[in-house]
Amino acid sequence: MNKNISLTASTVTTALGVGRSANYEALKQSRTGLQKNGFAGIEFDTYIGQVDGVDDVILPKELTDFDCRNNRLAELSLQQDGIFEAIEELKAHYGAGRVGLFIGTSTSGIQQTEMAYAARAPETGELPAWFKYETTHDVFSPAAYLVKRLGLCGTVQVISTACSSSARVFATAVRHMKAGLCDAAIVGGVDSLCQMTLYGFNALQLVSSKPCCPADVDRDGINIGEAAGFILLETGHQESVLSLLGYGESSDAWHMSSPHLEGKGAVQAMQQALACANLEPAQIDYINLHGTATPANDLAEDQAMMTVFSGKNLCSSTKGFTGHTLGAAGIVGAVFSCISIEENLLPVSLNTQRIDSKIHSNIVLDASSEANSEIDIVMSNSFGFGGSNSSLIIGRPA
Amino acid sequence: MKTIGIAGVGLVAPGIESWECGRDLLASGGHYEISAEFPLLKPSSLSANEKRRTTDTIKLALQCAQDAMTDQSVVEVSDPELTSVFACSSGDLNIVDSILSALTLPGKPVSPTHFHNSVHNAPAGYWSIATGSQAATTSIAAGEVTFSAGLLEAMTQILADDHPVLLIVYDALPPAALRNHRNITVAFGVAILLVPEQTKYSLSVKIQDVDPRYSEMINTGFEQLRRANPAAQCLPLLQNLALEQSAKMSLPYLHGQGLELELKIND
Repeated sequence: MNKNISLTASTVTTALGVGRSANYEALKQSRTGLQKNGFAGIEFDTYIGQVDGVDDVILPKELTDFDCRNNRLAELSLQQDGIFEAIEELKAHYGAGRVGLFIGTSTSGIQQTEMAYAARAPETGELPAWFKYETTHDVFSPAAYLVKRLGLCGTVQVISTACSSSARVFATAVRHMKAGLCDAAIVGGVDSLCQMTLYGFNALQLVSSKPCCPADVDRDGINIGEAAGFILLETGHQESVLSLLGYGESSDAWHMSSPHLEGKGAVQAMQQALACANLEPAQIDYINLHGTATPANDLAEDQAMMTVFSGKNLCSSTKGFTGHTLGAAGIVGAVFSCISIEENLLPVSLNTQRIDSKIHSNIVLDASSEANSEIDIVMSNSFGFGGSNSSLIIGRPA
Repeated sequence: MKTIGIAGVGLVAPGIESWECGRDLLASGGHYEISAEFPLLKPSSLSANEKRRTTDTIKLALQCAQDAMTDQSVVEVSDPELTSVFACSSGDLNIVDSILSALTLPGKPVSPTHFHNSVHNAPAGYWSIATGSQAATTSIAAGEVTFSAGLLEAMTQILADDHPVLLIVYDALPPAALRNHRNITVAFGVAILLVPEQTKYSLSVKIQDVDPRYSEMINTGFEQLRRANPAAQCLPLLQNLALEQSAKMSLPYLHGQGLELELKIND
């Protein structure tokens, strides 16, 4: 990257808890946020990564049109780690029109439309009067909510590239900053539990009835989770603040819902990120894998990892903690990368008992055995349906 | 922002099956009826099998993309440097309608094919499979201003990385149940191939802060079309391209701002 991009504040809310410290504690103690499914309307056995307290969130009175699970989750995340105040400072410093907003989501507030369809008039098929599409289900809804909530008037993009959505926002934000459309950026993602994704992945036979176990020989699918998170990006070097060192983006050009067998697109995204950061593979201290725990995904990602890396670099998937948070997975991976570096914490591959003999990467099963590792530079992988791949590199600036 | 070149255009709208046809209509200033029949969507880039599995939204996006690539000769469709931006306000609401209807039935029989086609980036995925290109594609949405947001995303990609970008902006007709909730009364799709070097058509854009007067179409039929689909906000630009006339235009952007487009025809 020819411009230093500093990560000046961050927050994340997942099934592990609200805010960074709850997530840090759970990662450190290897404690999962997955629980037996109790989500309304889901009639099959699985585990889910549900965020506690989303139902109790109340949006500001003037923004009740935006009320839906997804925007409540965004609001809950906005209340953590002083991010709201940090955004106020960003606006004061750069001007509200010079702060860009870049949000990733996959299903936005589609749960509202699910409820509206369940309440359709039997005779006419008409949707109920309370249903508001534009402020809830619409793909742009989380950004429209945040613009009003935060008083923003700068450039805005909503990226929806399935499970890479909130990783892709970083590259988009950097390009908008380079083009002079904004001086600072709020990047983030939010995706919330709904019936469509649970039943959809179940129809594809990709959902596990057990807690998911990435890279395990007995892995048999994902657990779906929900999450929200934000990171603030500013240009210029700032003391003791992490930087976005590089990013890579690619397409598999292969299949809509299965990864390329040798992880061709994943290889390209990781190599691009390394080239962008001007780093050698050996300089990456830890890789937060996409690692959804489906048989095909973990194998393809491992093939890609073995093509790009030597097999020595420490890596793990954190899906055993949070479940697969879909459109929010990118921002979760990014904030977990920040936590790894700042707290020198190696998250273990939770729930993984016996690594698949076909998987050769150096997957962290016991963090204490690597206690002497110094973590300064982390890569985070996010891959999605449609073959949309993204790799980010975050680290201490050289 | 720096000036870039327009190298090709693709278009599908009621009564318009390609840019060639649309360009003639727009240049002639003749009568246009928004109620004209919508062309049959048959993008040849999809295999027969894929055509059966895909939806009107996916076919609409791919047909426009293909039309723009046919219109030009400077960039190969498989160029590893050619990235793409798919911009669509609603995504595939017909698929959503099928899935959400299935969720109201006993056993909730969601179709796996419907589900993987439901992602906002499904057309981008099919496009990369069709072209065999591993170049990045992105998929965005910005409600009524989706064309402007897509154009900005494409411009920033060209300026940052100095490579061609194919911008595709489209919205299909929503299903009956959701039609009252979307300001979309006809399907419309446009694709514009943007390149870093100068072509016959130079384009620059900038955000206007105060009280812009948005460009409209003089022709009543085309003005109806412009208002009938977020993607059709591109029509003032297409008209000036068709007429080969330099012009400044203003398209709606967020926060009551406008996006000023300046088109220059080079000799």
